[in-house]
Amino acid sequence: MKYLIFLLFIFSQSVYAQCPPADSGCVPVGEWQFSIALGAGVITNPLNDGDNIPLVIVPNFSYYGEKVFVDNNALGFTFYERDALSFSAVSQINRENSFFQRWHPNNIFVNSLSNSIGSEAQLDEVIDAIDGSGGNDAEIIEVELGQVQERKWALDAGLQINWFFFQHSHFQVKLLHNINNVYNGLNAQLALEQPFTFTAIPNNLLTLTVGANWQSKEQVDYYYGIDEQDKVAEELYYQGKASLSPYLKFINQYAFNENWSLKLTLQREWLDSSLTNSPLVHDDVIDTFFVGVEYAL
Amino acid sequence: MRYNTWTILLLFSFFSFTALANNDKPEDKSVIEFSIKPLICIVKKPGDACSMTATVSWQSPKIINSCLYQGITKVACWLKQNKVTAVIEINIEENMEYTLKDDNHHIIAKQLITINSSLAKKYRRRLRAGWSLF
Repeated sequence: MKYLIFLLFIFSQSVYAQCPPADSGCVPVGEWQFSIALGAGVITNPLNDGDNIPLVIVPNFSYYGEKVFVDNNALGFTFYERDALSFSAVSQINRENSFFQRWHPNNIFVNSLSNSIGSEAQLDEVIDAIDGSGGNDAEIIEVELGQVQERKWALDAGLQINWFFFQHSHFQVKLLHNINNVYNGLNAQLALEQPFTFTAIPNNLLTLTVGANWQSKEQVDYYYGIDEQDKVAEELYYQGKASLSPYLKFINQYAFNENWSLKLTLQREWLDSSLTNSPLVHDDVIDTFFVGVEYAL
Repeated sequence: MRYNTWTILLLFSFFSFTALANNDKPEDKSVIEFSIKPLICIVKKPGDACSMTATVSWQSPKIINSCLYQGITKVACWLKQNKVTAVIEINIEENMEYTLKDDNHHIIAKQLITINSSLAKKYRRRLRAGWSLF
């Protein structure tokens, strides 16, 4: 690890990429950026009995120093940066556990009311399933969230490459490995982002992103696999395999002025069959929707 | 002749009024010569604090008691002086107005000290696909 850090400094470059201040993708070096969005939205939960994550107040913050950056749940160190290309070492919280728990750091600001609705009924179902007293066992083909052992938070770290090309096109790839001994595997994220502006609507910015999330066998097996630790019938055991789930994201932002804007976000991720085949998974997509106003400090 | 008399009276009254107006002013602040040099503090990069030595000088047509303020903080005072040259240490983190006040705390002169950075504010690309929770 110390050799890796040493190498990062050896290859560290002090030259800044050209970034015009007026560009919405550029941020001032050494300053914190804060914004908060208030509105209505949801991230659907693909797990059986998993609660959808309501989006009501969504904070957003970042800090970009000369090399170090913090961007919401990610911490990074850029050791090479040129006009079009940058390489960074990054560490970030793994997303998957947010579907298994309510109190994920990303969910702190959302309404927890829906979590309590129907909780007694869910508890009864869980007890029935564990005791085998809920009726005919042969009818149970799904495993509910409450039946399986609690999953843990995973912290990942690895390499992030950003490539800027053509008219503000942005390609990003991350290759991360779990570093807190939770699933001991890899995951990768690919994203191709293209913003669009329209002369007829000068204050509007539309951004389309196509991407994919790859999860190693170890990650899928840890979160979506089922084994003897999960206290369910042996017939429901499931061993995870590597998955590749593509997604499409649409973000539209209309700026009223320097501080206030209207934001609309739509995203759909199509889950790989290695995820949807798990008895824990009910839906084959994860949808994200949010509409609201954002205030930037 | 009648025309000339009215003209003279009009001119007389105008100059009398002007002279009276000047006498009504409690103090003519413009006659205080006040300067701080240098006026601009150069720092390496935006946001850096400025530390420099500056020379303050002021001159008044009459002897006065006065104090120099950095914002609301008193920096130095002089008793019964009409001409002062002093060296002060300036430590500021943002543009700062220095004021010279008399006995009655009236501002009799002021000067703005600005901070400029030798390096322009830098920008870099945000390395994240816009607005995503993960």
